[in-house]
Amino acid sequence: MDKNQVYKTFIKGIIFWGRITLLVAFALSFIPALYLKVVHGVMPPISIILKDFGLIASIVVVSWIVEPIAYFPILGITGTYMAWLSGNISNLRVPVSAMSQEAAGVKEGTPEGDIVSTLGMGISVIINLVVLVIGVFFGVKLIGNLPPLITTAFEYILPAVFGAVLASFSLRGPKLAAFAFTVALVFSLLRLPMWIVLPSCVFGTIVLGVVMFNRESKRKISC
Amino acid sequence: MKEYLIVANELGMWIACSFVVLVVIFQALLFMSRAYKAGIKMGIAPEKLKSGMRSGAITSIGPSVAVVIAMVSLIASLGGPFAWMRLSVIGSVPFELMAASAGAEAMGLELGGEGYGLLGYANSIWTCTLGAAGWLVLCALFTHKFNDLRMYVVRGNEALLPILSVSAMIGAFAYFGAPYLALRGSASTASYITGGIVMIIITKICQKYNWNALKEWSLGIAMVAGMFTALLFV
Repeated sequence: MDKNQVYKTFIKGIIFWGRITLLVAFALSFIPALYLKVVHGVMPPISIILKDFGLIASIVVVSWIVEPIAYFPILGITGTYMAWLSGNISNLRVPVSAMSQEAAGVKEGTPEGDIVSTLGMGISVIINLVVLVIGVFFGVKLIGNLPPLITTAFEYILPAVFGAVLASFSLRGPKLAAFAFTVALVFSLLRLPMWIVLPSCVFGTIVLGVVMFNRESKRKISC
Repeated sequence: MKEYLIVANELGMWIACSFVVLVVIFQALLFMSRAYKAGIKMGIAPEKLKSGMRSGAITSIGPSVAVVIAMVSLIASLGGPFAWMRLSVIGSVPFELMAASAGAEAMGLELGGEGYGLLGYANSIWTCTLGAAGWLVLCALFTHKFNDLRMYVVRGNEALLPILSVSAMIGAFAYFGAPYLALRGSASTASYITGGIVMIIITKICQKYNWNALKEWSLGIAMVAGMFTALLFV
């Protein structure tokens, strides 16, 4: 079987299992709420639950739609199923996807890139779970006893992650990085909402990337 | 300890919360084993696959510890099992705190505050659950359609796909980082800049000496450098 055929079969299986796992997780995520009802007889009245839904939906409905689409060019099919099931997307899944492909030396957006990204993200899901379990069972006391300097330092780990990954990309695509950086910085300073800033950064950079690519290929042809 | 927290930390609650986590583990293991097998069949060197996994593992540890530290606040108001489940499935600490507070507010209460008892807790669980449900359902229904859209955009020119991915990543990381650089004070700014500079230095060293093992550690090292430099500016 040739490479593309193998990858196509792989993706077919992923779509099948991805949909099943997400829908099953959706159903099972209600168990804690139902447990309180069945075992303790506690459940908010339906009117309150509807109000909850209205309240929460009004806050996140835009994110439900905009974020999966904006992250799709990064995560691909496999990564989208994994990231939207396991969460912690900006702080774990996307950096891991980027760094694992960089370390393996595969191109993002290709079948090879997708395979490596899937492996890296899978590991990150498992590690995240293990660390969380340790944290929940033993960590609360442990964390209480950590020197405050350490816990404070961890509050500042994310800016370092984002600065580092963007810097790494800036070596490969300086113009794209400069463009995205400027847009993100200006829009954030203006305090525009997520649903404007995220798509502007992602799709704006994609448009610029495609335009630059087309120009370069034209130049190559004319030479 | 508040009374509802006894229920929130009981064994039954652990069991109730573990089902969905099992799905997450199942999916991760299934996708990984399929990806590994497909990767081998596609002729990707096993060493590359392993390098990707090692890098994923190293990169995950720091941010995971940060999640645990932030989780302490969530455990205090929602109990261990539910906090653990929320942070294993879709959520992130700020999102769950927001959703749980919305649940308390819907009942005219404050999360973990006066009068916030078992019913308030149950309502927070409902809002957290409903908050994440939208992503699960939309992604289950439409992910393969997003791909059709992507394929339509490149119109058969598959050489464009990597351009799409890299550009999107650059855009997303610029978006993630900008608030830390601009709006969250000098310690965040210092961490951001240090992380960036250290990363560039390490990448240059990797290129110069062709040192691939260091590449897997690059983000890990940059993170540690950034977070401790931040302390100088707190």
